[in-house]
Formats: sequence, structure tokens, C-alpha cells
Amino acid sequence: MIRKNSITPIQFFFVLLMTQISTFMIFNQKNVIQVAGNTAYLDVLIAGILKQLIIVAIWYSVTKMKKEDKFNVLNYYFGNKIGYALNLLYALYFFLIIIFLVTRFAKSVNVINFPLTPTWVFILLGITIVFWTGRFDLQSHSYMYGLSSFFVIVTVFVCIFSLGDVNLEYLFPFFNKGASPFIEGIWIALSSVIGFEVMIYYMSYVETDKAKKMLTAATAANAVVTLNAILGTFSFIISFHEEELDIIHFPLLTLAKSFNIGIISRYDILYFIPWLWLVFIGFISYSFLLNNQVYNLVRQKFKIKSISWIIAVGLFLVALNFTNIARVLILHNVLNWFFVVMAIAIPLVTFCISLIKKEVKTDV
Amino acid sequence: MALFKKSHEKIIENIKEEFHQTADLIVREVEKDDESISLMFIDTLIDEIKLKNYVLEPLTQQQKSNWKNVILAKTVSETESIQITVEKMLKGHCALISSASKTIYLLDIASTASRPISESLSEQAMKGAHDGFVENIILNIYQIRKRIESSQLTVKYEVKGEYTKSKIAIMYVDDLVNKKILKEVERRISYISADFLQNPGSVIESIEDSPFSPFPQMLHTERPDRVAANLMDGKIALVLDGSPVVLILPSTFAGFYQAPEDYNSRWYFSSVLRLIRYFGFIITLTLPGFYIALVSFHMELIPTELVFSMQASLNSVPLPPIAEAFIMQLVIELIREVAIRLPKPISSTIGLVGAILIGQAVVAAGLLSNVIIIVVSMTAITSFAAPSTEISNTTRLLGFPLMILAYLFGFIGLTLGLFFIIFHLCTLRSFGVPYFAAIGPLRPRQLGDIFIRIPIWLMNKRESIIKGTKQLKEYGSRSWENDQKE
Repeated sequence: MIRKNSITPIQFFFVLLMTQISTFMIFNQKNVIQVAGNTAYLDVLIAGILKQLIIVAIWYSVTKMKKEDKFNVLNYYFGNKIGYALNLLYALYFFLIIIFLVTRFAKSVNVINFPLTPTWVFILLGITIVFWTGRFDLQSHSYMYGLSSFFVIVTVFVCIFSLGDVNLEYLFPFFNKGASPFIEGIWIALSSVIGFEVMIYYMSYVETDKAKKMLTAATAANAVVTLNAILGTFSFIISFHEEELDIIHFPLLTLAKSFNIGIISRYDILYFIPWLWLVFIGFISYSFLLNNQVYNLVRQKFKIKSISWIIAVGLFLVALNFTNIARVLILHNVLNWFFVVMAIAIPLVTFCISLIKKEVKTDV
Repeated sequence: MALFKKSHEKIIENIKEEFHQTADLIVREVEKDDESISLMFIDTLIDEIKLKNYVLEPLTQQQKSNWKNVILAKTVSETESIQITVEKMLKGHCALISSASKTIYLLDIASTASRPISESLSEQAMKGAHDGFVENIILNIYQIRKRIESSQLTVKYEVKGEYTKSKIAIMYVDDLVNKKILKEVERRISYISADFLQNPGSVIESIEDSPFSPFPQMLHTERPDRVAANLMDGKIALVLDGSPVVLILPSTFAGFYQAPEDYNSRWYFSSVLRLIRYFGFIITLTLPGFYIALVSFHMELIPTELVFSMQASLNSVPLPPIAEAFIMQLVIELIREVAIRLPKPISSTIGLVGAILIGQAVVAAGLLSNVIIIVVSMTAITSFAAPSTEISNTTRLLGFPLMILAYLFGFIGLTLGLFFIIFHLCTLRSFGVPYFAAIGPLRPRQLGDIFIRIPIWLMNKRESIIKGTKQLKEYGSRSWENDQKE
């Protein structure tokens, strides 16, 4: 353990929940509907089940290790050299995810509110959060996640309230796009709710004698995220026609527009506040991991504050190259493939090695 | 005898030199048989009645030479050290130097002059005790001890300040306090080294966890009932000599919104009051920023009927919303500052003149819009809802950067500012205890005394975040109900 960072299983639940919800907010869920059609919510459900399998695999690999090795999962299973390379790869992955989150945030703000303001201003705002929060301990982060979970309830509330003004005919005919798009939709659903792969690192910080508690927390987080995603997808399907979805940038914000109580005209503008909050939460989660990952990679030779400075400058300079939507989409495609390697392939290979590896001292 | 006599004069000379021949150093000679006794004391520090009744009268009336047995002072100690003598004399002791002995006798006849116990002006309560702390540490400890008649209530003294020799009393209930926190408090206090230490501010800034945070990390109070209640929750109180303010630690954010009278009113009413205070906190912090964001960027949020009247009010104003808000907020702060410094009858007049005349005049002159007057007045009023002035000051102060962010980026700036504030609250610790408990970390059991105030008999456990040795504090005060049924 590099800093005083231990968290309880409940805090671990909030860490996983909020990391996934925040990325879910920025990765546009409407893509699944556009590909899979009106059964996209089933794709999300299947993606949730697949995700659970990877979660179990990661959990098994980490809990099978000796307690003292918990902070070097990849070194333990792959050896020091490959482990170091994989850790470096994860650092790059976290770096790119932050770039993607920050640039998507900046572009969204540009589109919604400030079309005349240069994008780099909002990139700078995003990077400021990444820079400032990354240096704090995980306990403080987990308190923030716990508090911010209130906004998940707000999101659910928005989705449920929108169900009063729907067209159920959009649900039919069933499987309107056929089997192949349905299967493709599973993949898109899986890659748009990223964030569960961070448990390979976060699990090391959980302080508990009972490993099953960690699995329960991770499963609960996955269940809440999947249900949330199903609810969101289902709301979009029954609220918007597929052609409408093509022109709507932010379906959730558009849903919020349907409220009208009188004193406030545009609820979507108010809902923008919890939306932004959840996006900021995604920044801090990956920022913590990136800072600590780099801190470990440089063998703890520099202070975490110095590292967060260097990372912030690096992120800003790289993010400046992704100020137009075409480049952001390229980054999205790169991240999709990177996601396969980091969130699926490496955890599954680690799991296979953990099945073979004999040195077992476990509390599972 | 001649040898001692010589040393007797030398001692007096040495003490005089230590005091640099100060004018309030009194030397009084009393001749008894063949023995010469010198009394030395600082006139301004001793109680003259005690000197007369406990020292001079017994000394002069006693015929025999065993005068040491007739002295009536509270404590009598002996020393041969000039340094100790000087230190004790500075605490109001009288030094008794005899020509027949090398020993110096130190008699405690210190003056305990202090203003009488009276109600604190900054923490008045409608219901509840009306006594408050004064500048005398003994009287303050007495007021706490009177409320907690337990041998577990412990006092430890520390003397700090190279010149001021200020006494700090660390008070706690031994079987309730978390020993780790106590040790940490003692450790940090032991590091205090300064020439001058007389106000709680110096102690706070020397020992608090985050000196650059705008949030107060120790609760200030002038109310003995508040200190007693916190001590019974396993917290630690720091009582400073010369100050009517007692510090309570560790403190949490919620503690600043709990008032002693909450526990003297019906719990429904107290709960509503608590919610109003938190509402006040949110309004004070965000309302000016929200207004600026609204009129600068998000006018479409306002219903059409209201937009026209607001726009009409804003059109005639030559200043941007941020300048309007800043000017009015600064005026309010100035009026507040002036009202504190002026005598009470004048301060209320100035307040009225400031609030009504200036407000009316600037709107009539078209310098500011009438909406900003409403916004700033509401902010000023809601800031007073907090029972602690420290947290109220912090909230008002944080409103200014939020206004700037709202002016630059609308709701995005406001959200960003709030995000930083809440995250900062999550990172704060008060002596290792999370400052934002029981909200972050979430402690559902304790929320009953945070946003609302549930019945006292339901609050049967102490704050788990303190991790004291004894958790239970209520043993079934309403169990008579079950007995009656049987």
C-alpha cells in the first residue's frame, strides 16, 4: 500500500458503482439502440451478465494471492518484467480514458451551452479536477462517491418520470433489426459501461477478512449499474423514435425537458448539474488510479504531488489534439479495442494463470 | 546566622534583578525576634485581602518563631531556586525569605479577579442555560465540573508561550475519550512554541489538520452546556486562560449546525430548525452564484412571464450581474462590520439605514436591479441561521469564488465550484476524524442527529466516528412504558 488508502467493502461498492455510472453518462447509451434496435435493453442485460463473469474472474485472481502481494497483482502472475509492462499499459489506458472523458465533457459543454468558447477552456477545467483530486487518498474519494450516489437516484427519477409520456408501440415489432445487430449491440453495451475493470486495482485497497464481501460489493455495484442502464435504454426506446435518436445528442437531457411544473421552464438545464457532477466523478476515479499507477511505475521516487503536476500537463497537451469531434471519435474507436485488451483479455488471462498457479495462501 | 543574612539580602537582590526593578514588585520586611523575614510579591497579581488575612496578620500576631505553621495560604511550597520563585511570583505567589534559612517559602495568594459569570453574547439561547464562560480558567473549569460531577472528568494543564506563560487546560472524560486522539492532541500541543499565546486563534492555527482550509476544524463555544455535552460524547475540550472561548475537538461539519437549544425543544421543531439551517447554508453559498448564472447564461430556465419583468429590471442597470452582486455583497459585509464595532443603539440604526435607505436608493437611481437586492438580502439573512459564526463566515466567503465561476461558466462554473467544495470537505480531517462524517463517510445511524434531531432516548449511541471506549449512552429511559404494561 502506497498511502493510507484502505476502504471498507461498502466504500468499494460506491467506488465501483460511481466509476461505472460516470463513464456510462459520457459514453452515449443511444448507440446501443441505434445498432440493436428496440431490444437494446436486452443487450444491456446480457452485457451486464458478461460483465459479472469478468468481475468474478478478477475477484478470483486477486483473492487467490497472498495478502502481502495484493498491490502487485500483475507482477505476481506475470513476473516482474511483463507485470511492469502490463502496469504501464494500464497507466496508458487510464490516461486515454481521462483524455476521452475530458474531451467528451468539453465538447458536450460546447454543444449545450458555450458554442463560442474555445474547447481548450473546458479541457483545462476538466484537467484541473483531475490534477487536484488525484493526489488525495482513496478514503476521501470514497466519501465523495458515497455522497454523489444521490445523483444516481436523481437520474433514475428522471427516467421513471419520463415514462409518463411514452409510446409503447416503439417496442414492437420485437427484434426489429434481427439477430446480427442484436449481438453487435451486446458488444457496444459492454464497452459503453466501462469502469468495472478498475477493480483489479481497487480490490487491493479493501480492508476485509472476508473476500466474499468484496464479491458481494462488486456484484451489487454491477447490478445497480446494469439496472440503471436497462432503465435508461428502455426509457429512450419508448420515448424516442429511432430517427429522433439520430438527431438528439443527449437523450437523458432531452427527457428532462418533458417536465413542466411552472416555476422552472427548462428542467434539462437544471438536470445538467447532476449530469456534470457524475461526469466529474469519472475524472476523479481514473485520476486516482493514474496517479498511483505512475507513482508505482517510477518506483515511488517522486512525490505524488509532483506526479500529479506532470500528469496534468501531459493530459492537457494531449487533450488539445482532440478538440474536434472527428478526432474524439477516433479516440473512441481506439479505446474500444484497448478496452478489449485491458478489461477483458488481461483479466481473463490472469484468471487462467491463477487457476494454474500453485502457490496458494488464500482466505477465500 | 550572619552567613544566612548575607544570602538573604543576596536572594532579594537577585529577585529584584530578575524583575528589572519593576515598580509593582513590593518588598515588605517583618522583624521577628532575631529573625528578619522579607515578603516579596507583585502587587498587581496578588489579592490584598488574602495577603492581609492569610499572611500578614498571622505573621505579625504570632509571637513565637514557628511562623510557618500559622500561614493560611491555599498552598505553601518551598524552594531554593530563584527561577522557580520568579515563576511562582508571576502567578501571584508571595515569596517569604527568612534570614534564618536559605529556603524560600512560596504562598499562593493570587488574585482571582474576573468578571462575573454571564450569558455569552455570541451564543444566546431562548431555551436552556444562560451561563457562559468568562476569562478566568478556574471559573470556566468550575462551570464544566459543576455539570459533570464525575471523577472520570480529567484536567491536564499545559503552559505555553515564552512570555505569556498561558495555561491551557485539556479536559476530557477519561472512560469516554478516544485515547489515540487524546495522545495526538497532547502531542500537537507540546509542539506549540511561541512568545505570545493568549487567544484561541493561535492554538487553533498551531494544531489544526489543514491550516489552509477555509473551514473551521474546531468548534468554538462560550457555553458550558455545549462543552459538557461534547465531553460526554467522548470529545476533548481546550480551555485557555484569559479567553471565554473553549475549543472542542475533534469537530465535524455537522457539529457547527447543532445548537444546544435543539435538545431543549420538541424534537419535531428542532428537526425543522436543523433543516432550515442547512437550507440557509445552501442558500448563502449558492444563491448569488445561481442568480448570476441565471441572468448571464440561462435565462431560458425562467418562465416566460417572469423573464420580461426580470429583463425590464436588468435593462436599466449599467453594470454586469457580477458587479452588481459583488457591490451589494461588499456593502452588506461593510454594514455588518460597522454594526459589530459600533455601540448597540447606533449599530441597529446603521443597519436599518444601510438595508432600507441604500437598497431603495440604488434601485431608484437605476444603479442596481431590484432582484439583486432580494438575492443579497436573502443571502445575508440566511447566513445568520448557522449557530456558529465561524461556519457562517466561511459560507459567505466561499460565495465569492462561486459568483466568479458562475459569471464565467454559468451552471458549469457553479457545479465545478460546488464539486471542489464538497470534495474538499471529504478530504478534511479533524484530528484524524473525517470532517464530513456522518455524511461522508455515510453513517446512517447518526443521521438522526445531523439533518434532523430524533428523540434523545433514541440516540442511544455515541458518535461511532470518535471510536471512544464506551459506545452506549442511553440505557432505556422509556422502558417504564413496558413495565407499566406488565
